[in-house]
Amino acid sequence: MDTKTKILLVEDSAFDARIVKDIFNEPALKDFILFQVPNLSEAFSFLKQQTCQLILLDLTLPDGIGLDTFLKVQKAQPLIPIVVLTRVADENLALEALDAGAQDYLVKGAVDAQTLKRSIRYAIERKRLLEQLRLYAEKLEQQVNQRTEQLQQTISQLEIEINKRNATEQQLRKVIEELKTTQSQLIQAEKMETIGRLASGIAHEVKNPLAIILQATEYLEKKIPIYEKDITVVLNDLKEATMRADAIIKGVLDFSSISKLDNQPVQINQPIDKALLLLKHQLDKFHINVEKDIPIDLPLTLIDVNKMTQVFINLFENSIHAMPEGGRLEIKVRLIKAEKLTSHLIGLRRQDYFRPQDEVLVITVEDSGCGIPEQNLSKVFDPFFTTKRNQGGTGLGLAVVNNIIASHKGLISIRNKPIEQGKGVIVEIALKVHQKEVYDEGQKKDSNS
Amino acid sequence: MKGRKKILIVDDEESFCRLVKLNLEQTGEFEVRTETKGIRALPAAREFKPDFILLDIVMPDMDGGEIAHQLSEDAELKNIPVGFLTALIRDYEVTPQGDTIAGRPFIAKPVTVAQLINFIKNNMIQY
Ligand SMILES: Nc1ncnc2c1ncn2[C@@H]1O[C@H](COP(=O)(O)OP(=O)(O)OP(=O)(O)O)[C@@H](O)[C@H]1O
Ligand SMILES: [Mg+2]
Repeated sequence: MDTKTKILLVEDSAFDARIVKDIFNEPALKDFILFQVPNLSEAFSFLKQQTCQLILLDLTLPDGIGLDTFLKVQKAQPLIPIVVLTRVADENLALEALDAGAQDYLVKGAVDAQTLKRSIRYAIERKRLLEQLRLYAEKLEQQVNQRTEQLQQTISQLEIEINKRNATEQQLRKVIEELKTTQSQLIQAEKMETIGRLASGIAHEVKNPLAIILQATEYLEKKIPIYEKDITVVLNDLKEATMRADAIIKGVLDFSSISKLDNQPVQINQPIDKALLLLKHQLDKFHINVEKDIPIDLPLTLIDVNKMTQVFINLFENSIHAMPEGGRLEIKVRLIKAEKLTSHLIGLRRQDYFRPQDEVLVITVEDSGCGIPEQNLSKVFDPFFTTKRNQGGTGLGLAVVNNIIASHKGLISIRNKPIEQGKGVIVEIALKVHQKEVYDEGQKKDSNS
Repeated sequence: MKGRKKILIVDDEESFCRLVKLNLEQTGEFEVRTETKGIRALPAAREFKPDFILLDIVMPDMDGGEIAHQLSEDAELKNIPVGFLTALIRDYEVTPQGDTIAGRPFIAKPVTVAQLINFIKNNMIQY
């Protein structure tokens, strides 16, 4: 094989080419072998067939003028070093070529063998180093990219891991939260039952003496002359205190009777209307507008009408008390699927009460009263919690409501209206629909047999 | 005095009986006889021939429900109107439509004199 360094001279002037060829014939350049082509297109076709270690390029060719000539060749052969040939008058052009990446320039006519040899060697060596540098840089960049990618992968894996842990932690928290509520609800249920059992025992025994005190007071009232003002006042106090004691007993007694429900399939508006009728006087007296929104085609629900009437009496009474200057009482009923129940609704063992496909009646009682301070919200269902002690409140109203709803396997929630709707309280009750259930049972039996 | 309605009250609380008797008779509209033993209810009714019988439900020897049942089976007494007076029921259960226990009207203790008179008048036939 030929070990000589191949040089390609691109030169159209036969005269100039001759001069260069002569120099290459000198002994100093014996390690080089020169090929010559007269224009760019031949240079390209030459380079397609064989390679060379350097190109000597004249910048004025028939198919290439000025710097453009150089750029074309460099683009086609980025790895081959290029030394440009110029005339004395073209030195500026030569400098532009150097800026663009040419290795060197030689002025025609001012070149001897030694200069040419050195120029060629340096050009080749510089190009080689540059190329090596470029490769290193490329490799480095590649490695950096690779590392970056690896790091990014690690980071996203970590992120996934962190997210997973967070989710697990959240789930754990939720479970703990649920356990806590279940526990406190169980305790609450237990408390209620104990109170209930006690109540039924005590109530009868206390009501009898109360009945006697009341009769005695009324007897004395008739016997004492009206002008005995002090005595009349005292007797009146006695009577009122008796009535209050009776109210407390009444409330407590309600716990004990919850186990014996007298359930009938009825329209939900029956207990609502009954309660409104019983409270009509108070509603009118305090100028409270009642707005009912109850669709007529609702399915029946299986309830103890008396107990449920009491639920609505207690709720409406609370609303009336919260609106001494008048206001609005809205009662709304909707039929929805259990799975769509809002999270406000609480119950003792929610999952037992409704299956996702059950149809549920949701009754909403909304007032425009004073609302409930946040810190009291968790206590209002507690027996004996009241902010109305000196107006004769017993604090049993909502406790009874809660128990009656629970004994119907319903759910209840109480909350303040969202601020943008003004003050007031929203009570939500969810009750099972009666007919649907019977229908379902029937279906099951059919498919079993 | 003529025109006074005769009321028989059967309740094991002696002082309650005494006070109700005093309060009702004070109005001048009623003549009251009281019994504190359940078993005395029927003999007293036969003797006193009341226009209305008021029965306590929970009594140690015989409860008001039982007495009402025996009264309803007695040819001589079955037409006398009967009402229950009881500490067991809360008054909100007594709705304007008038609720009943075993078909009989009832009223919850404690009760004011006015409520009691109202109750008696509402449930006494031929007043
Ligand atoms: N609609 C409401 N608006 C404002 N506060 C309310 C409302 N409902 C209940 N509350 C608050 O909850 C407390 C407890 O209510 P609950 O019905 O159990 O007892 P109460 O109304 O005080 O007494 P009772 O019902 O025995 O007369 C009330 O004292 C009141 O502070
Ligand atoms: Mg209340």
